[in-house]
Amino acid sequence: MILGSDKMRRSLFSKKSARILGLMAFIATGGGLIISTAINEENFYKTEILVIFGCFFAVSLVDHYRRLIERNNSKKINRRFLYILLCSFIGATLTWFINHQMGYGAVIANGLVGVMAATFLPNDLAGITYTSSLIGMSSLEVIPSMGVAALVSLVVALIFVNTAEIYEGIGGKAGTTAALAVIITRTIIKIFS
Amino acid sequence: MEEAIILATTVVAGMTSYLVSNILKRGSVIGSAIVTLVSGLMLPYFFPNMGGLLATAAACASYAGMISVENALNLLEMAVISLMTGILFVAANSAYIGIGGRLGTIAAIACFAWLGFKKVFVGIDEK
Repeated sequence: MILGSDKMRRSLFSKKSARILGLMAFIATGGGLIISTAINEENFYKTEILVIFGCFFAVSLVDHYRRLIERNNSKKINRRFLYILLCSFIGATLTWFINHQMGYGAVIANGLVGVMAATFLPNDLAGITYTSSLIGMSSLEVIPSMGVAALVSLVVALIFVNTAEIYEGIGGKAGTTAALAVIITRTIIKIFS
Repeated sequence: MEEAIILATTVVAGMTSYLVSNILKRGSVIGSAIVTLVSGLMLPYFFPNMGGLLATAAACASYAGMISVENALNLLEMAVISLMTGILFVAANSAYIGIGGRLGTIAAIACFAWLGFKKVFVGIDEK
């Protein structure tokens, strides 16, 4: 009985930790965009707009954090990890190929992959395909080859599986996940190169 | 003038994406992807000078349009979120350049900022 209770407590703790970590990563990605622009921007009005947006963003995040901690019976996510990994790989590399090799541009490549994913795949797999498709929109300076795109798609799949419930219902969660994965992979590549 | 066209594009794109996703109930991926694809094909044709920029702005707003109906209750709220996305797109055009997911991050900030705005000024929690 005591062992069971300990196990449950540990499981709840790890879930809570994962949620907090995911939320912090989200804050870092969104906050990083606001802060870096506000610092580099010479136009005062643009900086002012960013500061106002940043304040509302912070207020909303506090509220979101409270709800996230209170949420106990979270919706179960279908963790067919192998399929998720495969869809993530196809989404990122196919978009990168259409964008850079075929030269159709990032917007058309993303839209095309998204429409195909939504047509042929079930909802959860279409979601991860569309998320990883955003990776392929990166410029050649950021993702120079299909191999790097494949590596980022692996990171995206890992983030997606662990954080899908955190960002649930928020527009732009796919983009934030993709941006986070690209930044993490770039940092890892920089460390090892 | 250029900014006004960008804002108008984001409002139309965001609302269309929300309409397909939540009102027509076709799903958020198809809602966003169809707007992104159509804007990527059509806008450079109709606006040769700034079509690429408009298509990017439309894609950005379409990601915001993936918001759930619990967070954006109706099309009017979505119009405001899309407008906020457009303003942020114009203001943050120098950030995260070349990084895939930049537009989605802008959309997410706009969505969160709208929820924060509702919390502070409207003072209602509709849930």
